[in-house]
Amino acid sequence: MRNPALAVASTIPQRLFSGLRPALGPLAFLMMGVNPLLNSQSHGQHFNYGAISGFALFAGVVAFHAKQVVLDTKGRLLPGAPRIPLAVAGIMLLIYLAAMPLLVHAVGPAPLLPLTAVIWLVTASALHFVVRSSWLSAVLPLLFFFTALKGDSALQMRVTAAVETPPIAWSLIAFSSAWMMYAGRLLSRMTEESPGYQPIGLRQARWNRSLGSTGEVNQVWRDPTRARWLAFAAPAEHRLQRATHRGASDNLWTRCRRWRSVNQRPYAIAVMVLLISAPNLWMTRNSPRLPGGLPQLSLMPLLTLFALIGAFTGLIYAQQWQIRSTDILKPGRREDFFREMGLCVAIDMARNVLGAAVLLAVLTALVAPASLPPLCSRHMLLAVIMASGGMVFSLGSVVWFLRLRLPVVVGMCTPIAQLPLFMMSATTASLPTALLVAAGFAVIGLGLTYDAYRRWLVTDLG
Amino acid sequence: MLFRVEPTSGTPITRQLSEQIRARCAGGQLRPGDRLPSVRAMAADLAVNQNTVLRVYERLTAEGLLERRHGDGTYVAGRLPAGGMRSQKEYLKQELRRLVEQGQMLGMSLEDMQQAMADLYEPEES
Amino acid sequence: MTDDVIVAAGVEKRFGRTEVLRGVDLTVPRGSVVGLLGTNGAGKTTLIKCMVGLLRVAGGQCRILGDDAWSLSPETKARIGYVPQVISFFPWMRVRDLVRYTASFYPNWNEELCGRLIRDWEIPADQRAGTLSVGQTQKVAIVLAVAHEPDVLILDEPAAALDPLARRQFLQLIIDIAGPGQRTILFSTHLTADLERVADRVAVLKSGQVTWSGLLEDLKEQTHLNLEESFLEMHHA
Repeated sequence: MRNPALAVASTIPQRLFSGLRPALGPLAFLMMGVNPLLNSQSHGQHFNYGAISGFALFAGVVAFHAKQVVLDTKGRLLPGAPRIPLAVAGIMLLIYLAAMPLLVHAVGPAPLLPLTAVIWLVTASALHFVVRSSWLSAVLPLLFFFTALKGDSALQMRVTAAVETPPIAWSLIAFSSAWMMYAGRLLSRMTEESPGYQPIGLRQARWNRSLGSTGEVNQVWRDPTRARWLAFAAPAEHRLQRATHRGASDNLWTRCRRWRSVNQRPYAIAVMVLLISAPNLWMTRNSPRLPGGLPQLSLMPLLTLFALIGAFTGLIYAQQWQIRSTDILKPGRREDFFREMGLCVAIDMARNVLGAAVLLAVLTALVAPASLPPLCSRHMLLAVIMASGGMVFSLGSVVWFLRLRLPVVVGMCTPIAQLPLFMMSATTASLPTALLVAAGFAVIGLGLTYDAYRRWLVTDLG
Repeated sequence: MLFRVEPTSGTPITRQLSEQIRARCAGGQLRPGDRLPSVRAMAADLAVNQNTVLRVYERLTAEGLLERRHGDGTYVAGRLPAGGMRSQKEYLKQELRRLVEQGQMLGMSLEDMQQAMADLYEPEES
Repeated sequence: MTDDVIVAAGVEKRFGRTEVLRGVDLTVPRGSVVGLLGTNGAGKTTLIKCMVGLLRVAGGQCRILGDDAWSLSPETKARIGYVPQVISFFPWMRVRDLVRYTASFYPNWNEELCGRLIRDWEIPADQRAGTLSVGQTQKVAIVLAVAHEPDVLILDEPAAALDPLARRQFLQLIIDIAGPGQRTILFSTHLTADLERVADRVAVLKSGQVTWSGLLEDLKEQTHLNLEESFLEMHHA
């Protein structure tokens, strides 16, 4: 064990697990586990591309871990801390990049080279995304997936064929490698003083300058042109303002808005979720008629998106609890605080889910209009019902698991949140059954939330 | 007029301050009718709590040494209470005993101590 | 009764099986500046959180300004300022945004005072909260807690991360705010030197109970020791 390389390598498992902290890690593994489970009837590339999304998350974990290592000043100060901490992350990434295509290739009959290219591309974008939180980095893989979404069209054939041609695959790999190196360089130069030092996504969040706070809102009201615009943009608020003649801080709606304004911007979540679900969508599009003949299954990506985004929104609220909870001391009653908080979570969830769904639908309509009709059918209704139940359930499980403070368990909440969806997809349920199942899950979710509140949130305020 | 307190000493700030005011009254540096700094100014000056200063003023007022004129300020009372001077000198002697002990520990002779005291006296005289 | 701003009577608090507070009795009279002393893990933070209603007591009662701590009315909350031990802000918010956000909750926000403190303490108003140093963060939290001129100010280890200059400024501020018997201030600390200047009362928390509380001068008259010495004495006995 005197060998330094061995010494570094021996820390990998430990570092891997410490890197799993943000709950992305277990998520990635479970996604990988869930995908084959889901698609056991449908063979071939469907599984592979579904798996890629899991790997993208894993790459995110590695990058996140690397970022933490770089930014961990304790690691630099403690005697015996690894001298080249980034090397561990680098090795982890290399292992992953080498092993994953092989693994997928072994499980499914996908061709190795294009698979490698796609994995590398997704990895590079995930790395860049985590390091720099730039959502633009997700555009390329998304474009790739959505182009491929065009079903049997010539475009998809061309794209697939292109990826399968060795020169293009190789150049894609080269491009991805360069991209990864660029992200790695950004990462290695990062210090605590860097503006983007926040571990994940937070840099995305920008303070809404025009409606930042009540003070700002009041300023807006003094400007007639902007007030008129605001009246147009936010009629409910405008009416409340006019009706009450009170300061903006007085009504629930504006307080909600204020909550919103200090809330994290949803881009980060949306991009992450799109990155995860796009391959799923592609997979589904490629097999409109699955062996089981279950039409709901074609809606799986959308359902997953619904539930995932709900879980992420709730997770963020729960993670920010320490910051938010001291606001309970600001003038206002305890019940109001929780009502407003609940309303904000609900509004955020609805907005995030709808926003992501609309974005996905628009993209699908642009790229693959053929896959829209199933979205407009009765299954859509079922999907929405189930997803709503799943969302409440996911929020409850997220908050409940958070009180355990066990990252691996916390990470499990997402697949658990997807449980109702899986169950739904496994049955050809009628509308009342769906309603019943969704309601059941919602009730369990509410129960979990209440229990978490009673046991955890109450005792750990501040 | 400079007051000094040592917050980290075992003697309470209130006692330190009241002894100093008493000593100044006894020594004639503060004469009847002289105005003391306001509670706020004194507290800011010493960087101590205003309650502490207020308590000192109140206590000395109760003793008859100070006089609080409502809405005006705190003044040294017209007539100093009898016996004040003697107790002050008693206190000063105690302090001197402590200083002498310290001086002896440092190996200072009586002349050294006297010289040091003389040096300190001069600027005050002017 | 009305003259006691904070009253803790037999306060008990457990976390799981760990008993943190075992019947704390403490009253804070109006206008006093109370220093809450205790070793690490004595339960200072827990007690303070119970007092402002961030934690629910398991037994006993906490009252602040006559309200039960767990169900403070908005009016009472507007009269309380609180600086937690662990301060967390949204890292992407700039200091000025934080100020605006906080100000929007309080009807009695003193903009002039807030601006003056930010200038005097050289707090970078345009910087994002996430890039502030620990000391700067603490300064911001203190400004946000005092700018609405609260009647009761509760501070959990407020000066721990401040540099000597800022600490002196902070003590001046506390002295200024406290006035003679106007505002009530309770702060926990282990910096006895700060406390000796500013506090007029002391409460010592030891293994979940208040073992001594009263006027600081009484303690000194009794023991002829300074605070640090008596504190050590209390914990050796």
